[in-house]
Formats: sequence, structure tokens, C-alpha cells
Amino acid sequence: MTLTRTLALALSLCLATPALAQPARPPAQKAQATPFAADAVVQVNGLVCDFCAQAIDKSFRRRPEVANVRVDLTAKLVSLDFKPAQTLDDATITRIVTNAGYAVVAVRRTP
Amino acid sequence: MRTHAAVAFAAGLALAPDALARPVTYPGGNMAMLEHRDETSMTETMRTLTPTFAVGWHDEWDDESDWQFHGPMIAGLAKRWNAPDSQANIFWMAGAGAAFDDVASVETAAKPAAYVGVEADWENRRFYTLYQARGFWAEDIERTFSQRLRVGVAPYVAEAGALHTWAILQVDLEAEDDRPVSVTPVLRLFRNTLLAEAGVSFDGDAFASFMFYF
Repeated sequence: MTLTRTLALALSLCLATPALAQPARPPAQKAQATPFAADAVVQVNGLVCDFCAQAIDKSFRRRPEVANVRVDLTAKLVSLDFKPAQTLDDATITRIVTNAGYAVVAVRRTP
Repeated sequence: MRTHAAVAFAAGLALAPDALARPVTYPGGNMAMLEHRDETSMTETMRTLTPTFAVGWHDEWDDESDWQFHGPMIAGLAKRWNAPDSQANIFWMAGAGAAFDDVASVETAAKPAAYVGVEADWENRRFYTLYQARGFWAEDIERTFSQRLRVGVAPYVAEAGALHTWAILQVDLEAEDDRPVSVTPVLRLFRNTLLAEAGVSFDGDAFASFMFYF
């Protein structure tokens, strides 16, 4: 009986959680997250979970050149904004992503 | 019969290599974990030093066999495959320390103890599989070989920063245990750096785990 109740609760939570699944971001920031509006956009292999996004985010935010990081799991893109007059070269970006455990496919810059 | 079928099914999927109880994260990353299953509880804290190596501390208590273990541990990433839509990993881990023949007290004589383990996982944003194996030795207190198989499915695909939900079937195998095979449906909720899991096995044993990445 306990097991039946547990399974029923688990199933209910599974069905209910999509409604809770929206990222807690204000609408303005969500609109800002368009990947190609960033200074650099990195296409990454292996980005499959929220933890992957956290690892990438924390690894880049340690760098003083980086003003903002956004990870799009669906597009498999990491968007970087740099502080004024600062940047990271492609080799450094690739090294940061690789050290975080993921593979860089391409780095694109906003002209 | 149904149990055997479930084990065979889970084993087949796990051999096609998981994913989230990762002992190695990213350099400077930390992980703290609590797990309780049936009459066994454990805690683990890990700090990743390089992309492929982590150090930590492991504590374990077994009420059924009446012992406890405490000691440092190391873990490594042996191999990772990053694909456009999936990731697979093979990890190893080892630890050594002191075991005590009393789950409630460390006043008994400390006995040398050690363990080694491997973990293979594969996941994409919809499916998840995991295989873990561990051999544990504690002089005349305990000698076990345990395995865990997991297959999970996400009822929806969540974006970064959202609540991630997984329905998981977990199979624990331990020949020396009162129940050599234990099958547990587990619900996992994961958001940002917090992960919580809970379930009840078909034998009525409770399972819960909590992980925090920082």
C-alpha cells in the first residue's frame, strides 16, 4: 500500500513538474539571452544537463574579462559578454571549456 | 521472475553506458552528498583538483551489519565522450581508512579498510543510464561486492536554470545482503546546484539522496 502511494506520488510529481520547469529569469533577461547578441558564442558538445551549464558558467565567471555568461542547452551554445575593452582569445575559451569537461566545436565572434 | 527481467533490462541499458553522481566535476568544483538506502547511510565530500582528478572524504554506516567506516578517497575520470546530444563517462574511485565494528561508536578498535570502484554513465537530455560497482574490504568486519544499475527518463526536457525531473529505476545487487537484488523506483529533482532523490524499493526499503555542488 505504501509502495502504491509512493509510486502514485512520484507519477503525480513527474506530471506536475513541467509546470514548474520554467527558468526563474525575469522576461527582460530572457529576451537578452539570444545567443548571437553576445561578444562570443561557443558551440559545445556534451552539454546535456543543468549541472553542465553550472560548470561552464562558474568556470567562465572566474575570469575577470567576462561580464556575463549564458548557456543554452537546446542550442548547445555558450554566449559570452566581455567587459569593456577586454576579451578572451579562442585558445583560452577552448581551454576553459575543455577543463570544465566539455568539447568546443566552434567559437564565433560578433563583428 | 519479474525482478530478474527488470535486472536484465536495466543491465542491458547500463552496458550501453550516466550521469549525475559525478565524483569529478571541474577544477575548483566541490560536491557534498548524503545517501540513505535501507539500513546503510553514507556521506561524501569531494573537491576536483584537475579536469580528471578529485580528492575527498567518505563516511559510511551500516546498521544491519553493525559497522562504520571513515577515510579519505580519490577519484578520477578515466574517459569522457562528448557528443553533440549526449555525454558518456567512465570514472574510478578508491578509498582507505578505518572501520569500526560498531555502528554507533568508534570506541572499538579501528581496523584497516579500503574500497575500489568504477562508474560508467551515459545520458542525453531525455534518457540516463548508470552502472556502478564497488568492492569493500574491512579486515574481519565486512567484505562486500556491490553493484548498482540505473535507467532514467525525463518526462520533459528542461532548459538551464529550470527544474529538471527524472523518473529512475534503480537496481542494487549485493550477493552477501539479505536481499541480493533490490529494485527501487526513484524520483530525482535537480535544479542549478541542488539535486534530491527519493524512492521506496519493491521490498519497502526507503532510498533518499541529496547532492549539493558548490
